[in-house]
Amino acid sequence: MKLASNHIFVTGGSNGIGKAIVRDCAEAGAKVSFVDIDVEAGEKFAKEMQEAGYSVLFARADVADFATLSKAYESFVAQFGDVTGVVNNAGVNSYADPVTMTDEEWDAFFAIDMKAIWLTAKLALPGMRQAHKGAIVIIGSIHGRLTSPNFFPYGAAKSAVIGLTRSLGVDEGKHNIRTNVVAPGYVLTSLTQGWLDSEPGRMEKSLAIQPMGRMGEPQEIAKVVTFLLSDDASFVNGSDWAVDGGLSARSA
Amino acid sequence: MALIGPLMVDLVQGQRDLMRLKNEHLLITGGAQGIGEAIVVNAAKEGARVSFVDIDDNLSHSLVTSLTDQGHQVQFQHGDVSKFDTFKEAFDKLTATYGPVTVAVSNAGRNSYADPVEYADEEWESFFALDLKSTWYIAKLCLPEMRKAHKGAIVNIASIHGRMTSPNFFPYSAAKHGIVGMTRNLALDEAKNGIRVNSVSPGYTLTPLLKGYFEQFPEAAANAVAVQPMGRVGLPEEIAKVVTFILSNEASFINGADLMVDGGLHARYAS
Repeated sequence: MKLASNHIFVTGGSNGIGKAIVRDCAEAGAKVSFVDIDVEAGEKFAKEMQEAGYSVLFARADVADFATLSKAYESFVAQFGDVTGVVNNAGVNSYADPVTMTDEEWDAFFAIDMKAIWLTAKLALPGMRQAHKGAIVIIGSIHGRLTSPNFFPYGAAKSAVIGLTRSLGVDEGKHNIRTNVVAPGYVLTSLTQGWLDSEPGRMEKSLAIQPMGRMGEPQEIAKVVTFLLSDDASFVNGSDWAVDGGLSARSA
Repeated sequence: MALIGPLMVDLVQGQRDLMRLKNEHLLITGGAQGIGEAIVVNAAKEGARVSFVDIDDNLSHSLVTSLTDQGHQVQFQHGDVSKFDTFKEAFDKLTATYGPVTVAVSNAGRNSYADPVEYADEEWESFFALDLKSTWYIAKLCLPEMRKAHKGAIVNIASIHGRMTSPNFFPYSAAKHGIVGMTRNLALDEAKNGIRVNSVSPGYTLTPLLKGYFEQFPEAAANAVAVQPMGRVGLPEEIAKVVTFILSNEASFINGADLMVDGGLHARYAS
């Protein structure tokens, strides 16, 4: 089992890509803890995994709120031991007009999509440095290196995440802690489905641009995350791995 | 058009620890030593039938012997992959015994560091024929059967020099950038045929070539380690494991990507 004797901590694990990551890491032999603000889905999913024999824990936490995040984190460590791998998956969309966007909207968005990655690193690095081993995976986006019209300021946050990854990769590498970004393109989650359905023709147009003629499945992102968390990826660090079916290789 | 491809049987729980390349026939150029050798070994262990082409007969034969003694299916043909006719001759013999190639790795390459003024046309031609054109050749040879099967995966070994470079690396970096660009072209065009094409870009990797260089220039070795974010250079096996993963169905949505495997070196600028 690729992740045997690991404790993987996932943010935003109740639905979509995060849920697939929790499941895949558990199937790879890890103990998995996750936080989310969707308590109903989180509790239901954790219970389902526990009943299937997996070591999975859930707690409600808003990743933008360090107090509740660290409380959840500490309770997970108390039960599963030090975290060996972190997956920063929690995120929200933000598409705004730079003129009408308010300061509060900006702060709330960047707190989740960017600052939370620092916060989880702040929590996990001490134990990882002590163990001289660890892996951090951040779910970025194709918007980290390219973007589309009307995605302000989403592209800024996702680009910043790549910079943050480079800093962590360069600085924590000496502690044998690897930090990498997995950058999905279009992945069919309920969130994406909502966006695709919100405008007539959007689905057809989104499919037409896909080099592989289809969108990704959450599980196809999860497989790459599990690989990067495992020792098979022992020299992969500071990287941004696109998992988008080739979309970022294509100009508009 | 279906939104989602058929669920892959490989992804169901319980199959996870099965071998990554079971039932695949892998072809790799330059498999006798270094990163190529590590890919041959890892792919064989992951269940593939492995064919490789190389110009070093002695090393190739001993690798084939050692792996077949362990029960793996590995074969070799001598061939200069920078010349299409000799490459095709080797290719035809290899596929005659192991069948169509299902996954391919373009790995053969060499260094070329020159002064753009002194560099001769012949040197340019022979270098680019090996480091860039052979990547097209392996695609040219493997794509017909992959298209027919509507399934396939190709990994092109590029380099950190495919996106940045260092002083005195002319024209090495141009060839490696070329591989990254060609990978995108192939990925976009072959995706509709069910074929994924990606590049894997190593940084410093402890191959016999690098060992020789380090022995010759101990100061360069000390500096090469000093700049590493992880405090060490990579091992050929660490590149090989990423290659087999990218070729496997676990990487079913990775296409047209350049996957860096350099310990974080590309995240750091010279200082």
